[in-house]
Amino acid sequence: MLLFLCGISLFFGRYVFSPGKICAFFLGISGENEAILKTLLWEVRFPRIAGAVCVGGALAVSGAAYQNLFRNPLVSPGILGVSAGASFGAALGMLWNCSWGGIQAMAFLFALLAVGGSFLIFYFLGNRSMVVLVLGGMVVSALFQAFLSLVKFLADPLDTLPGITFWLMGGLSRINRGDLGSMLLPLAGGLACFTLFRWQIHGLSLGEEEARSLGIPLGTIRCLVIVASTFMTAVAISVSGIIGWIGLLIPHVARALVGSSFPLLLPTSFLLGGTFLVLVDDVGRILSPAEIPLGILTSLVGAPFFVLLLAKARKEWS
Amino acid sequence: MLFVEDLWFSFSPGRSVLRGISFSAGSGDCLCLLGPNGTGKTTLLKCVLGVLTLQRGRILLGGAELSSLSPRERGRRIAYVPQAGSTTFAYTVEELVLMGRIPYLAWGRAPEERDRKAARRALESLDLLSFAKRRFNELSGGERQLVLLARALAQNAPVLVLDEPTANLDYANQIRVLGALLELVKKNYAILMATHFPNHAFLAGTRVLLAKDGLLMAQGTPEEVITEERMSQLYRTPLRVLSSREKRCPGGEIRVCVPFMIS
Repeated sequence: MLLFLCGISLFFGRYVFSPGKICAFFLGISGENEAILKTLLWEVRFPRIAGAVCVGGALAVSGAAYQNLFRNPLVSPGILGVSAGASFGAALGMLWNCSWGGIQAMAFLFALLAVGGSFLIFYFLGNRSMVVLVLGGMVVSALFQAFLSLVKFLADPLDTLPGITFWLMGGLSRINRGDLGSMLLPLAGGLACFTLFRWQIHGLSLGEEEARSLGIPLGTIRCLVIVASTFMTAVAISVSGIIGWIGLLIPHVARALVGSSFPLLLPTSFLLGGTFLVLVDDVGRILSPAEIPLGILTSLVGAPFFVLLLAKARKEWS
Repeated sequence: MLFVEDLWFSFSPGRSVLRGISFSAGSGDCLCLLGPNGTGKTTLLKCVLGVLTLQRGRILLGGAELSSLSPRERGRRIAYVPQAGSTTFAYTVEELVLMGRIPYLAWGRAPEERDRKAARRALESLDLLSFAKRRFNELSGGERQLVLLARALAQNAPVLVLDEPTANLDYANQIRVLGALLELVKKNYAILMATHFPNHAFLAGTRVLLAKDGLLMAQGTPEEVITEERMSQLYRTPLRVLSSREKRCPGGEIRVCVPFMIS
């Protein structure tokens, strides 16, 4: 399904080529405009589609893991401040006129810093209570939101401010093959971590005492989930900007499909997240020549879809 | 099998919740832990499970110091049956019981046929096979309690710790759960359960621990320990221990402990 969609997606875009020409290109038949077509497919569309799969998958999987960790189906990957930190970092990068790579690096760095901050609050004040970790995340998010507003206030309203605003709405139009390369390591690492400990993460959803009595090293697994989720989310956001809803919504869709068991949820969430984002990105590219930002579309699609799911399968959440 | 010696525990320095608790449970023992609310019963269970770390004393599980065991090794030696609530996510009975095999899974490995068999056997032994595909959260309280017991059995640990397994259950389900526990006692499990019902100690307990203010007031067989004088003192409530002939029950006699009001 995902592969099919990716294949199809190669055909859509601002520069319209006839499907025949694209097929011919893949079959090795040379024709007019071959060089342009090659650049377009390999340098623009392929990275974009692969990026959509990676970003969507990463967000969905992190969401699923966090929902298990916090034993709460309403948790999204941003709960410990990743998104707020990344937003501030990216905005600061733009204020300082950093390169695209610099902006990404700033977003990634501040995303890690924000979660680090939440964790420090938890560590020094938490008394090992997960509620304090969530509260720490809220505090850190609020703080970085304030910093973000400050940066917006200072930013040049003609040039930098629109840039920040667009970044906050999310999009994959600036993704290139280098980005894919830099995403690969955190993404693969996070996925490997989740896969390796999927049964232990599964057990986390039973709560502290039961998880411990099932021989799960609670502290270690919790830390692993937070570190892996943070890296995956941070790298996804730094490439794509803020894309909401996927981390919250996709795990629910996956649960409705395959049940609540995390080992099954993991691959399903990844594939669904990737599929959803590729689809939404296609819609964004086709609907208007100006490309509607992804964050807007995921919310537009996500919100009613969520209500529909809620109405249809209320039992899944009980 | 389970050996607790001079256990001390406090949440904050200077206020000990448990003060020098010692007891032991061998295979085929069903220890009933009785005591008023807030006396540290649950705390004691958490210490035994390794969830809380003791300040002083030691706990031996099958001859090994509890604190020296790896989490996974601990999970293979002692299993916990919580009071039946609901799960955050909608698990089926099968999925929930299979979680009992987590202590046996190496990193990165999924349950194998052997694990699925163990889970099925556990369900079978409690007559729950027909529930396997049902959702846990849709079951009645008694059924949920039995499913959680099945998960502990799938864990295949010789020591079971239960926290008020009969709370919130009607008479039929109370007897069902206690009956299942008696069967396990016959199969040489060592059971430690906290309960609010002295009557359940008469029904299923081989020994009774009376806890008050973090101390063990008495321990022994139910008939020895559960006396009118002791229980009235323990709960600060007047009560009587009555017995009645009943040919159909073991021993030919039923004993009950009932509180009453003074007019």
